[in-house]
Amino acid sequence: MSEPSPAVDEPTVLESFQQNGFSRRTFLKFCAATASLLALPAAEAAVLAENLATKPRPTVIYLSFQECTGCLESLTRSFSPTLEHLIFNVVSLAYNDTLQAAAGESAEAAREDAMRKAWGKYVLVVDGAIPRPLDGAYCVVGGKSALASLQHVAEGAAAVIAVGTCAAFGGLPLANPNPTGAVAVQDLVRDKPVINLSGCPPIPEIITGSVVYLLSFGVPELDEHRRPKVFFGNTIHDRCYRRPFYDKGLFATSFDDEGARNGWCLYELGCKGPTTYNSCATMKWNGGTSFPIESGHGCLGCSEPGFWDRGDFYHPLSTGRWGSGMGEKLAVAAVAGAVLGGAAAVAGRQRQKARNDASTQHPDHPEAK
Amino acid sequence: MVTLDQIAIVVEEDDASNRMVPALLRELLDALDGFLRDGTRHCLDLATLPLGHAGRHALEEALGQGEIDARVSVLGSSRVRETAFTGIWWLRHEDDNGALLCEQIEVTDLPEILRADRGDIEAASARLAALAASLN
Amino acid sequence: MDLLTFARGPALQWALVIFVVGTIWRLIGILLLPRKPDFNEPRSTHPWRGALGLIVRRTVPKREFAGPTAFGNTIGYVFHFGLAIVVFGFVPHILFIRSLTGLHWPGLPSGVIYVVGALTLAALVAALVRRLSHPVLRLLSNADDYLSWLVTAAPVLTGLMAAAHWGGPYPRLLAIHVLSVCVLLAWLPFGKLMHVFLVFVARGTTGALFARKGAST
Ligand code: SF4
Ligand code: SF4
Repeated sequence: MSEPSPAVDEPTVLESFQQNGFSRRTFLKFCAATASLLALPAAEAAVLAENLATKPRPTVIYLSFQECTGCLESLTRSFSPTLEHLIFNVVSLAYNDTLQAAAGESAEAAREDAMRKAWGKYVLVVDGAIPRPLDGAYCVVGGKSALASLQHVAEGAAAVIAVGTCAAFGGLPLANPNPTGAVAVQDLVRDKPVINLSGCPPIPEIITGSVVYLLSFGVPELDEHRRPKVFFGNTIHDRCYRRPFYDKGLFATSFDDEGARNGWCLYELGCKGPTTYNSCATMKWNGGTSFPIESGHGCLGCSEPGFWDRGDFYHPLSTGRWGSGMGEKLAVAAVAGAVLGGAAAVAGRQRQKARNDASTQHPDHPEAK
Repeated sequence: MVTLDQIAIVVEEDDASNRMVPALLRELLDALDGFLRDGTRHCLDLATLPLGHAGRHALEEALGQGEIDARVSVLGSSRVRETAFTGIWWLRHEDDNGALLCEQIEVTDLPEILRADRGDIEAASARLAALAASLN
Repeated sequence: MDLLTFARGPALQWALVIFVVGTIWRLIGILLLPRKPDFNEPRSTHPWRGALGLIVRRTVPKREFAGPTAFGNTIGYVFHFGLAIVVFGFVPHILFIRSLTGLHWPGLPSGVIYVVGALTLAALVAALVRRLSHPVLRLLSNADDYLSWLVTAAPVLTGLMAAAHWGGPYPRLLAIHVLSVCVLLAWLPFGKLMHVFLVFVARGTTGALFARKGAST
């Protein structure tokens, strides 16, 4: 698969802009802003505009499973490209149970219809994890399990975008003790390209930008967790504005000490920036207003697999995870060591004594007469 | 309460960003020559360049202000300035809230965003015809 | 469980348990060994002073040997002090020790640590090269020496790699660094690295004995 293909009779993105009363200038500015967001080099930025002017809009089906709708909430706050442009001009959103006006059986019928028309070509967006046991009985929408829906819709998809840490890595549903046996999209969809846009929630512009990229160029270059490298190529720590303090060894040691007031590094307070790949430090949130570290709180690592189960939001990254009873374990170890040492010494003394006895009985020994 | 701007963050200006400026000027010179040779347009996204505040300022100073300073009102506002070097344009795109979307330097005779598109002219012609008809 | 969580959790816990068992086992085993009774009249009544004195004095090479041993001594000093600075001066390391013992102290700037770390690694490599190229040293060396070198150098190398983000994603580099420390901790009591503790026991015993005999050192 290189890129998703159009639904039948769909206008191109440019035509769609114009049909909706936007000028070509709006389209060009949209392209410029998106290319900048995607950090495209000049040549590719031109190709982006060209592709969007000539390619028909793809059909998008957006399914929600074990999720909190936070990812969609985030998406609605995308500044550039805005959600409105995305769903009205860039894609043809055939199904999203929160955004669509239709409900109930007619909505499901519309989805089936859209899928039939664009079979093999549409883009499937998923948020939320999927419970696997008991044929997926723990999450059922419209009489159909999440498991069955995903497998059915993914079959005809050209590519699948897993939005949010739950869809990408299992997130909170999968966290210990994982009562519903939740798994990630990539655990179930094996024969289609899966793009993971992790984050709890993901940065909205990462979602919109990735959709536009997919439409224009196909699947972007992905990292080892199948996240687009453009957005997940650096750690928070790599691009953090508090980094000079980290390098100088200046750390806040509580949330209201002198260091915190001076804006020093939050490593000691448990910041997971060094191990977290995401764009918060550069793209920021709410249209570039700020990101958590600017508000004085360390990164929780929300875009990494298993971030919830690490259970150490407020412990420095370099500390061991000792769990409870480490002191007791070490005390037992010390006692065991002492017993072994004592035994070794006793054995040593006995050996020595045996040797001495043996040598005193030797015929050459002066005492052995 | 301490607000964000009261927190003393000293961003250390990297002088690598100042060394960027001469390199950028040479790139723009190449682009201008390229345009004169075969009409190739060239575009730089400032966000992709490791330019600090100082470097950005130095670049702006060096390029100066030319004869055109246009405002485009789409998706918020955009400003299209010709620099003192004809054919080199400085574009600044803002969203509805005035937040910066992106900044570009384009090398061309006329930035695309200024040109009226044929499709848009056709739509305008239709609209105008309707208006004229309604006034009859 | 991902590699980093494993390294910071179970791997470190087990390594520490092995370290504690092993260290106490060997220390007690050695300290409880029988000593021959010495029936001589003691020349000095301050064996402790003698012990401490020798521990300090033996860290400085004898003037007579200064020339020929200069190279070996220098690299030895560099990596021993380097290791101490890196282990006890880097803030993340101090935080590690604090999480275990509750003790902490101010750290050094990360830049200083990186430089010292690089020097330490260079000195360690030089020590290995010397060991391999010096005929006598080579004859004296056994597998323990090379293994001990490896488990000492590995945390320094992996730590520098993690700091430089060189060789893979940082979480993996950090996990490998922590795991290399686990191996070091687990091996330390059982090989020549035990000199970390035994050097004081050995020098102290000799120093006390010398003091008792009134021998000059
Ligand atoms: S606040 Fe966090 S991300 Fe920023 S420099 Fe410190 S550790 Fe790194
Ligand atoms: S700073 Fe860290 S925890 Fe916060 S949103 Fe970004 S990646 Fe998630």
